[in-house]
Amino acid sequence: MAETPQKPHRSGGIVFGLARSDLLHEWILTTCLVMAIAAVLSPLLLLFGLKFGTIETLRHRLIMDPRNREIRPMVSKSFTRQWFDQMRQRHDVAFIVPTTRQISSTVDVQAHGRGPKKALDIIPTMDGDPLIRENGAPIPGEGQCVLSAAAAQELGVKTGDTVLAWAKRIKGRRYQSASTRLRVAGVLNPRASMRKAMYVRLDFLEAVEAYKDGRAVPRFGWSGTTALAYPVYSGLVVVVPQKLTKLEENMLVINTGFSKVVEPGEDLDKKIGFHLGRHMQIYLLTTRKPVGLESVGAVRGRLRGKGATLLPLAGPLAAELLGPGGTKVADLKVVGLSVHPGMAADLKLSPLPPWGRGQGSMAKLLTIMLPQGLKVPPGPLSLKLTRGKQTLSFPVQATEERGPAGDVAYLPSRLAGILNLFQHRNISFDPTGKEFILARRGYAGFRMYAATIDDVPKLKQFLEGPGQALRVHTEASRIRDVVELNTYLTLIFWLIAVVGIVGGLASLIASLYASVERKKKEMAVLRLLGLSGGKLFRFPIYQGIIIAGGGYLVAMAFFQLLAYTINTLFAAHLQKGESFCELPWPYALASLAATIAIAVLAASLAAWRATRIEPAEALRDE
Amino acid sequence: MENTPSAAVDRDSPRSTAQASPTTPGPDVYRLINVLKRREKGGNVFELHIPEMVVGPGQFVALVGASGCGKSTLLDMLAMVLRPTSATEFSITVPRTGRQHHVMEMDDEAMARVRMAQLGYVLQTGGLLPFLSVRDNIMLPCRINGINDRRAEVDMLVQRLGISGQMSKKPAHLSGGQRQRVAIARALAHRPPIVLADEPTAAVDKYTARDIRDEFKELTQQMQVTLLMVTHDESLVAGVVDRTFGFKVKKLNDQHTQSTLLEEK
Repeated sequence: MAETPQKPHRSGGIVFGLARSDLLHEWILTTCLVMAIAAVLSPLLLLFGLKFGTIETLRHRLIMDPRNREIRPMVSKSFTRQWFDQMRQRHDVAFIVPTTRQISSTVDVQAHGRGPKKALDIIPTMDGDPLIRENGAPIPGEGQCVLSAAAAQELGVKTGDTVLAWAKRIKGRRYQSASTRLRVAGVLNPRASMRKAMYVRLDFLEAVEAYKDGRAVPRFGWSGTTALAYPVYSGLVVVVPQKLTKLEENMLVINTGFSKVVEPGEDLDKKIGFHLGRHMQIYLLTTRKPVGLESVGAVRGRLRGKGATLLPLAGPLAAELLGPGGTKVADLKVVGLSVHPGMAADLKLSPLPPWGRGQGSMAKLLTIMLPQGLKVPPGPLSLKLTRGKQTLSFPVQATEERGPAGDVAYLPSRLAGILNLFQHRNISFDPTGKEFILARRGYAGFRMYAATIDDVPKLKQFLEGPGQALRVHTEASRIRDVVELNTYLTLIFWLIAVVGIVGGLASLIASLYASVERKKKEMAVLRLLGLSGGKLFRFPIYQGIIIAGGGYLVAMAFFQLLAYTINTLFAAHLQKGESFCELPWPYALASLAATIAIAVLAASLAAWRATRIEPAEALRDE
Repeated sequence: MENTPSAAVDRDSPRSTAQASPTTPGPDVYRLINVLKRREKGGNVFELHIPEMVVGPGQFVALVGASGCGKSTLLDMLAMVLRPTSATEFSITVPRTGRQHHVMEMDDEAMARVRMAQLGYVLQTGGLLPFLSVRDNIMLPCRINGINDRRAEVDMLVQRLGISGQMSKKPAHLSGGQRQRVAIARALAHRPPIVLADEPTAAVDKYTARDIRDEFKELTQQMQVTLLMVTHDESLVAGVVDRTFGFKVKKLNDQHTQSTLLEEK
């Protein structure tokens, strides 16, 4: 095609320069156009800002308000730890914490440890409690509490103060009370609860409940009885000099708790974990579920005068032997074995543990006979048992005597029986009293929050369904209102937004189209000077971009000013991380991109028309 | 439409030597043979017929006629901003390179390229861009062509035209005569071989018009530029130009006007 002596370069730059010069030359008109676009964009940006600020905040507050997500049981029932674990696994449960019986859920509280006592509800909490978290307080730790606004007002205390909490019980005809100090870790926002309540860790509630039940709470120095763990056995070896009659055999399992009399087989030693001579009659009583000492006593009664020796069976149980500092020494199988030293010889029993019948206080029974050859570091030893997530550990004293080589260790029968109980129930070791204490079985109720308000009906259905058969209370009517309000808010926003966007679009297109129409003459001259249609096409587009960009900048400045004003004015009503008017930067960028895109579109439309006109005709139009 | 490039070239070579220009020898700058432009507007038909128009390099050619005769239409076609309806030949030859461009076979881009580099254009009211200063207006064709070394020559040109004091003003602040001089400077700044002027003196008084005409002629002669000037005022160009073309207008009926280009000898 036709050549050119000098190749024109940077004609894009020339066109941009011309577009800019033209806008600068007509700066008053340019300002008008920029302002016209800013006038359309500012309210739109503000609308979006309010959408992301106020509306989102309100919506979030409504939808996520823990009060709307709460599910409370209407009946008291025993809920096991496993049940709570299961519920925690559900993805529609945001939070669940067990509660104790209603009766044990109040304490008397004194501000700063003096003055009048005020009765407060105590409500259990733990990490992740949305009611606490979303109402401006930290989750209370050990020795801490969080107060509702009403409770804090009643007591006249604030965050950081100390209160004295009193638990009360009736013993005989007298009231007894005991107290502990708690630090106020935070005060909830008034909207969290109208109740005069104190939020504490679950174990504090358990302590109060234990005290009301007459038990001691060594942690707080509260006196009372202790629920000690008791031994249970999974079988009984009966050794008698003479063979029993069939009737006598049957008598051993009728109403004793044992279920069957079994002739010992060849594998008896392996089954029971120790060796017995076979020169006497041996019977093995089995059981379907572990039995207590009373069953052993019942059997003993039936065999009175027959010279019988009874060896209750506990184990073998898996346990870890820990050295000083909790380092693991060995994995062991522990077996309970206690027998009168005099009897042991008659039974040809081996091994022979040195603790005899294994009686006396539990402190004396924390001993273990380790297998031969096991190397044990010097210093204190302890034994640890694990069941699921539960562990039980306690100190043990190794005897001088050693049992046969291998991994079997021997414990006094009563201790092994308690460890046997641990297979079914939670037990803790109290190091001060050197006793095993029975932990609670379950809880009377719970506080639960669904993940969202939409999950509430489903959860209610599940809990009231055949599997659970609970009756629960939910804020169903309030949820309905919230969902409705949410729908309307969203709808109203989009209606306004659509009208605003359509109006803005029309105004932007009209402004830019008009400005290109006015530039027809200049564009014709440029075309005459040799700018091709394609290059000339960019002239109004650059102008559109400059005008729209300018309009956006002005609108953004207005928006920032207004957003700042609004947020400052309403700062008191905002929580941390909330804002009444804000435009996240990806949306700010997106709105700029949309504005520029619309500007290019509008200018292209006009430019297409302008460049289609023959330059000659444009020149002669006057 | 009926002409083919080969036919055009065949006829071209013997003619160009036979019809050499009186001032400068070389190939014809414009060759228009049997060109027709037909325009229809609101039921009115206007036809411009050019049996033959051949312009040699360096010539000063006047196109004279009353308004409505089609002289601006012709000028637009010569300026490659308007396509003829049909033509046996319509070509422009660049004197410097000898390269011939056949308008009937060119697309818009190609025409824009030729226009950019080879043509200067002076419009009735200057056609200056109001948003650029006088200097930027004059330098614009150079910038579009990517020429950066014309500063000294342009300064000379401006001095000759007597507008060197106006360089940083915007066109709106100039008088009509000054504006036309700026337009002439712009048309010549990038040294095109051809300059087209559309009634360049229509907006100024008679004396200024003559001054402008003389300056224009002098400059184009010095620069060996082929100048085609449209005017309605025959007295302005009489005795000054190399050649004059006129229009014979025939009204066939109320709606149909026919105009034919004829050279006045």
